[in-house]
Amino acid sequence: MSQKSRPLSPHLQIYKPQLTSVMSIFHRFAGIALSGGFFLLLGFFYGVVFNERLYTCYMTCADTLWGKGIILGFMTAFWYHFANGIRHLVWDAGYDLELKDVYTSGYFVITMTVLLTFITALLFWGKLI
Amino acid sequence: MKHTHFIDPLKKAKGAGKFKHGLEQWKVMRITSVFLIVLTLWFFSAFVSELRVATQSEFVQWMARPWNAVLLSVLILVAGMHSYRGLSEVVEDYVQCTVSKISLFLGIQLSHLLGVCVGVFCVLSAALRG
Repeated sequence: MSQKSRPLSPHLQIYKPQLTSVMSIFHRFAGIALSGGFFLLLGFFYGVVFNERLYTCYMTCADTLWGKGIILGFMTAFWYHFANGIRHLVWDAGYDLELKDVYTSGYFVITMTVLLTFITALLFWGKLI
Repeated sequence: MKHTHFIDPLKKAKGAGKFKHGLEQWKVMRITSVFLIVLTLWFFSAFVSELRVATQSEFVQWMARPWNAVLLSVLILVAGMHSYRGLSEVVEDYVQCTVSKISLFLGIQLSHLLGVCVGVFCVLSAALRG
């Protein structure tokens, strides 16, 4: 069979999204977003140490509504990638590989993401501590 | 078809990926992720307890403390490695055009090398400024 006549599968356009596949691709999306967040954080460090104007710019932006929205987005991406990454490590160790368990841990990861993001947001903007 | 069909598929596939050894890439991603669990939680707790309310100079003073400087440098290094490898893996999986693939690899490589160096340099400058 030549390269061109190979059947294409799965057809993503008509493939029914499942928890497993959707969580898998969102792990990557979150990872890509966090790479961006990593560079933003490095820029912040640079501002802190070397450039007061950059630092002030960061602090002003973090105080606006859209700035807070972006931070909240990064928090969500972080905790999702964090929890789902641990799920991956558990799989790599050879546990939790039955389909039923995969769904259970999947829902657990989503719950933890919401919970940890909520707690983080409270710690970050609330007056708890 | 060219004469390539005499070469068995395994021979063709060996060493073809970005990181040449698939197992090594797999291992580095796992090792860095385990380190990152600990390091990010450490940084996060420090952020919530101290840095969140710190002024710019207090932030620098926090960075300058020996263990903070060391751990933050390690965090930047390990996170950079994880991000670099992860992004390259994504490019490897989805980008097919050789020119854009190589340009993306180079861009990712260069930006991470630069980013990590700048980051560690910032932390060390804060620490050694005295």
